[in-house]
Amino acid sequence: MSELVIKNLHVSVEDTEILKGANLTMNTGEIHAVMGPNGAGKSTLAAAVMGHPAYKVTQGEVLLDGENLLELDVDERARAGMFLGVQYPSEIQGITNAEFIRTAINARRAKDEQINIMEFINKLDEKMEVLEMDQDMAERFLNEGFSGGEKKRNEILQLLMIEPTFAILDEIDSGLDIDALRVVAEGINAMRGENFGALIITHYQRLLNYIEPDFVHIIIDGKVVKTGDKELAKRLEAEGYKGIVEELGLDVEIDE
Amino acid sequence: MSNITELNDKLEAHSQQLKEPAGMTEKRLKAARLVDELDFPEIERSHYYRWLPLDTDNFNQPVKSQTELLPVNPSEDGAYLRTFHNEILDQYLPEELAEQGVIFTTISQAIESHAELIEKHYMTDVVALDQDKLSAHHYAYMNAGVFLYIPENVEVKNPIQLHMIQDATSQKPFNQHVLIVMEENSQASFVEKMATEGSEETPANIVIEISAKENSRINYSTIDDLSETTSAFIRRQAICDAGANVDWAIGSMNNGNVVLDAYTELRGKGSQSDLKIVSLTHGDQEQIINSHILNIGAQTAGNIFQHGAILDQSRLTFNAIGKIEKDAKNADAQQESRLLMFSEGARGDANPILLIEEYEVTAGHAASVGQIDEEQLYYLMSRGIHRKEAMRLAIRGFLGPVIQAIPLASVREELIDNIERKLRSL
Repeated sequence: MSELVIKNLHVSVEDTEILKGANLTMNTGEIHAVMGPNGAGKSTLAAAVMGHPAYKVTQGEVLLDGENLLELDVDERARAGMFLGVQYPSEIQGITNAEFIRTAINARRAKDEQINIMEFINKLDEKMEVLEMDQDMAERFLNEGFSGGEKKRNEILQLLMIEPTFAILDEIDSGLDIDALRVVAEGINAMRGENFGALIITHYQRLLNYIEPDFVHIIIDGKVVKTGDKELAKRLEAEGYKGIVEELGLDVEIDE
Repeated sequence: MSNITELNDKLEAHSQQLKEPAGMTEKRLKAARLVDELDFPEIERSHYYRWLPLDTDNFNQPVKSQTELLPVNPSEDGAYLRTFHNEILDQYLPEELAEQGVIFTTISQAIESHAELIEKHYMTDVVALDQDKLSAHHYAYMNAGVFLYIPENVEVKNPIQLHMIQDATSQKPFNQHVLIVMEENSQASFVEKMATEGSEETPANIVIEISAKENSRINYSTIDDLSETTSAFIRRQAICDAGANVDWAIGSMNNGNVVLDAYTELRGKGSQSDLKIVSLTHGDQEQIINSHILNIGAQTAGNIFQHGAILDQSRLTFNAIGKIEKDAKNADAQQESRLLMFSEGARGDANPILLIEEYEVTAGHAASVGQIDEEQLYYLMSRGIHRKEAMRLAIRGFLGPVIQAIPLASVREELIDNIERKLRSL
């Protein structure tokens, strides 16, 4: 079992503090959901844990089985077991999706243990089928000209191929129609197991109908203010964040 | 050269040895005189003439016999020519093409069988002998040449390959000429490679000219890979008649100091040219890419696209000149030049120039000199890819448009390998 601990995390973007002491602990075998109003710091949490250069950690720790990820470069964090699926992945012309994914897999392996081409192709075909992706997506350039839905499926494809220990999925459901949502959820559910944990950031309870979370965290104003089970997400959907703010006596304006 | 008579004798002998018609011999002598009178072609932001040697002594040195260059069996089905300086190493022209009147051979060979075509088109249609000092020098001292002729209404399906190997085992200059004539309604795609054998310091004054007659269409792609010890001026020039199309995809991967002057004249109504160039400079070399499309005819469209990456202490200049002449109504001139720099000592210059003398036109330009896209690197690295590998992927992507325009997988692979080799120093 692995454990990811986010301790008192403070993060600034262009000198504005967004995260103001976030705490969260998760284990493999668990699915966590993070919800919160716009600007609360959900995406900042994801980007800071992965190591995006624009997000500056001013205080706190992120420990993966006791090792401080914040001292590692982005690629080292990924090889340590982290994965971040994003809403707007970069487009890279001239590099095919398949080549990119193979390079990512091989980056984790020793020089003499690189993935066999046939093994890779078979696995890729299998995972693309799960995600109902056209076969030609493998040979298309990385994210170039992909629709919003295709980009998100492609993020999940990478997740299934790379098989990280912990995945953070940042609003992977936004803009998806109901069929795409179902497929993406199936992909994530396929990863469920004792060697995998996911942190799913979402605006809507909708996704959680397809991926049942073990824990739901609410971030407001840069802090995790409440943690509960899946019922908390349903309550939010019904009451909005105002109820939580009042219950906890928080002094914040909610812009939903 | 000590005296003029001696030079004339040498030129005459050279011309006769190549079995050139008397008219061409005379023009060589005239050109030799003009070299001193004419100026170097003006190229913005560069003083290339300070390092570009103009040889008048060694142009007729013999070719060293190259037994170690083994013949290759090209896997593709198209016409194929491989030359070592002016000698043919391999040559293949499918029977079907020969029957249709396609000619693809050295200029010396073509003179024996089709002297009239050479006299008609060689430096008359496109590049003029007296265009400037370098065109005159080229005419006078040309010592290797290739001729491709596609007759009217002939459509060549498989790409035509030319592999030119410069002989730098002596100090003989590489004054290579490639003459391409696309007659009316003809179509072809042409894949060229230019490389060096040997390590002598040699100058090169190269001309590739394309005459694209009405409604003809050529896709021209090339990998220029001259060695570190070759200082070259490479002129690629095309004239498009009405409805003609010349698309260039140039990988300027040379290793020494090089000027590439790419000039396309859209003379006829509705003619078009797409000029894509990528370059990767390294070591302490300098490459100057001067891309120029001139819209003369109405409804002509020219598009210049240049992407370059600069490593080590090298220097890369991109000039992009789009000019629309008066009366070129509804013409379109677009350009994009982007440079990425990878070291403190790298120097890059992207210089956009649009000159427009007609009102009813569309035009646009973009130019930038900068660093690699950190967002792209972050994304690649977030999948566990090491920073250096991520940079190599991002650069390959950045140089991708020319790779993709090459119609042969084997040549695309060669360009990718070439890029990968140079990126190893990162």
